[in-house]
Amino acid sequence: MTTTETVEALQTALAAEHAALFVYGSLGAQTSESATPHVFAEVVDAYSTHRAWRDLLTTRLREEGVEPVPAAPTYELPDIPANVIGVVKAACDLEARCCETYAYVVANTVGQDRSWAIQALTRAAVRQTALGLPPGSWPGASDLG
Amino acid sequence: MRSTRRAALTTAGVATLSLAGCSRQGQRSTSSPTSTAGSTASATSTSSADPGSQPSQADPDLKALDRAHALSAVLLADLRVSRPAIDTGGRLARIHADHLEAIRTSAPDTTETPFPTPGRRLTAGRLRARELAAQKELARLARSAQSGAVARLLASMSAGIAAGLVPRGGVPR
Repeated sequence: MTTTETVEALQTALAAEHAALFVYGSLGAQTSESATPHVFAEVVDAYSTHRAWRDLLTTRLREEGVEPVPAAPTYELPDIPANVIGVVKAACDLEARCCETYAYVVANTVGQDRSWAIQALTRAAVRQTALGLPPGSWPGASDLG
Repeated sequence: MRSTRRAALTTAGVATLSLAGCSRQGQRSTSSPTSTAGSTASATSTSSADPGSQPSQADPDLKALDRAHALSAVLLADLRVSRPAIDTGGRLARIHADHLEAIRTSAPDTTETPFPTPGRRLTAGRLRARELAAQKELARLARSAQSGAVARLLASMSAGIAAGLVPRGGVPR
């Protein structure tokens, strides 16, 4: 039996995935595969991952008879310098917000939904470090530090 | 100044985890990350347990926290002894120390040793294997936690270790 809290958490995660896809689409257009292959690979992989999670969450919510939250017509893009440093900063900031969302989902779900959220939290935390940010002790839960 | 802050954090940590661990009501976090301008639910904010009540030693969440405490203590001891190449700049050691500080309990379970021969000099490969095993165990504990707040804490610990294992310069592709 899916609780209201669980559905709300999954909807929050889906909304975050919509936003992440929009932002990563923009970041991908600002990233050079030849000049910065590592960053390009991370951005492409992140886009693919968030797209898969959007689809998974959409399916999961429909299974519960809930209409998945749609993507917004547009999202505010981060105000960053038009260079690789700006792209990396925006991607790290985005993954940090995703970590908070996934940690929230962990707290408000059980079973397979929580397992997915733990995996997503870990992937987002690892991606931040892979992009060059020092690893934090409490990904998605800085209030615990 | 530093010791005062540490003492305060430790005290808060004990109170937080005691509350979170013995909560059977209000286990779920109610504050959405998107509804609170980036803030997230803390372990304390989700508990409705009586602060004066004594947590049962049989509480599975308290056992999970004790286990997490023991894992962090052993991993930190291993890193301090071995000074391995996997811990560039002491990143993992700092993560384990932060975890210990936050989850320190008044009576951690010392009856079970997470790994054999804790604190012994180990190869980088062996240390990495231990870190990975601990990261997976914390994720497993998070999956089975009864309290949402405890699950969040354990999942964040697991994710922090995973991130700490990323080689400096990023993930090789």
